[in-house]
Amino acid sequence: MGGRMSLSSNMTHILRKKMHQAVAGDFSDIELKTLEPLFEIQRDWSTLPDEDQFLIEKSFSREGCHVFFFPFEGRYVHEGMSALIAHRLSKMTPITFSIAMNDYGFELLSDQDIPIEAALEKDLFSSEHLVDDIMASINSAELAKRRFREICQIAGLVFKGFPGQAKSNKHLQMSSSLFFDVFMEYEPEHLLVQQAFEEVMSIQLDEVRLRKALKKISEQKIIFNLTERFTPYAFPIMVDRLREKLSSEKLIDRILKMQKQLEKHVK
Amino acid sequence: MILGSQEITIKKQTLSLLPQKALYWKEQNILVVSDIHFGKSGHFRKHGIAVPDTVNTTNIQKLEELVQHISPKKILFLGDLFHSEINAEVEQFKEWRIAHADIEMILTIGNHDILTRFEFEKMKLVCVNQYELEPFVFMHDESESKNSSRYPITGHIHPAVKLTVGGRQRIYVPCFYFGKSHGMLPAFGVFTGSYLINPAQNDLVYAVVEEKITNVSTLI
Repeated sequence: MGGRMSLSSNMTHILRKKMHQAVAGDFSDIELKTLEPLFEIQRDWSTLPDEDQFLIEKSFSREGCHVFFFPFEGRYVHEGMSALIAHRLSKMTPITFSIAMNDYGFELLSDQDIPIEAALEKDLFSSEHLVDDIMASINSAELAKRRFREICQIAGLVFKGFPGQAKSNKHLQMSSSLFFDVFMEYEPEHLLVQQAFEEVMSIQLDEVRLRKALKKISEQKIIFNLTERFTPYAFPIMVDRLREKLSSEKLIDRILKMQKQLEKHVK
Repeated sequence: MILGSQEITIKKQTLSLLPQKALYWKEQNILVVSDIHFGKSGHFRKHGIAVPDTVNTTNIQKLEELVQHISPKKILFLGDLFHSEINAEVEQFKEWRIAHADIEMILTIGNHDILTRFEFEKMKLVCVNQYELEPFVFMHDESESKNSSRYPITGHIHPAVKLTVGGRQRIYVPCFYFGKSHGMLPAFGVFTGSYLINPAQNDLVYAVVEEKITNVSTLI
């Protein structure tokens, strides 16, 4: 998991440039030439977004409703942006998201219909209340908890075992997350917990880059496509198993919902 | 009746599952509590890991509220009442014990209860390996049960179950478990982890979710 380096802003800039080269029909590079069939499929099934376009795709599967966004801004920016967008959507209706991302875009997945059309009519990508919304979204997301694991190790709260005699990772996660829960409940001003939130803010949710990215989107034309199948852009994100969570539903309601669904199924 | 609790019938006995992660046996007026791990936060602090001590006072508060509410005749601790050696937090429990001298308290010894019998007796705790009361036998660890005709109710593993809630999400919740061979209680202590169990098809599983007990047997 440590090897998930994000693309830098320079790198994403070059990436977008290459993409646009492909949109313009210039397949002179060997890389673009190889990818040409995939670009064709993307164009066929959805849209190949140009420089001034921002692509959003929505599709349904057995798992529920998927909405894909493609800002091409690198993983870290997507991490922040996805939490932000999920938070803003979850304010509209009680909903639970599972979030996946890569360097090209991110996905929101929910077991119920995501009201993205209604949200797009309002200003979903506005940079107003940005800091408040980010703070609210990291509180509900599990980003801080994941950061806390490393902090826990460095601070010596969890014991990693002697070299060559590694204790399993699972055990480790359980105990650092237990520490996190206990601190959050009984000592929320604990320095190590503060550190976790600060790291999320400064490292993962780089506010300046996020603001820039949102500004760019506001200047682009949003293209919203309902796709029948997962497009070449969407597929790699869809299959990502390492996911974030964000919910505005109560856990007990979610369980009751499941019970109801099951009863319907039995009848 | 405690808010969010659920009554079930096992072996013709009425057991009330409480969202505080304890069990109340109606017919006998017994409160059953498992794996509190008193003194755990203090033990960590002693070893240089600063866990807030409110953890321990919360445990005592939770217990006190239950006792106030139910006023049981007996309290049965299903082992791991204490996490380790005597420390200041264990003393807090002692004080609480003295304040409730009229309630009989029984401890079925758990693997963490390493204090001497003398210490337990000083706290007026009746120490046993198993506590039998028709139709149940209470103990800490089910694997140590001897072939008894009675239905074992145990603690020890801090059971939790995995629920898959739509949109590819999994959640882990502590639970009460009543299977064919034995029953298990979740850990009462707030500073305790949990262990994922794999219930069989007809086992009864009640999850503790946000101060409510809910039957999730069919969801697993």
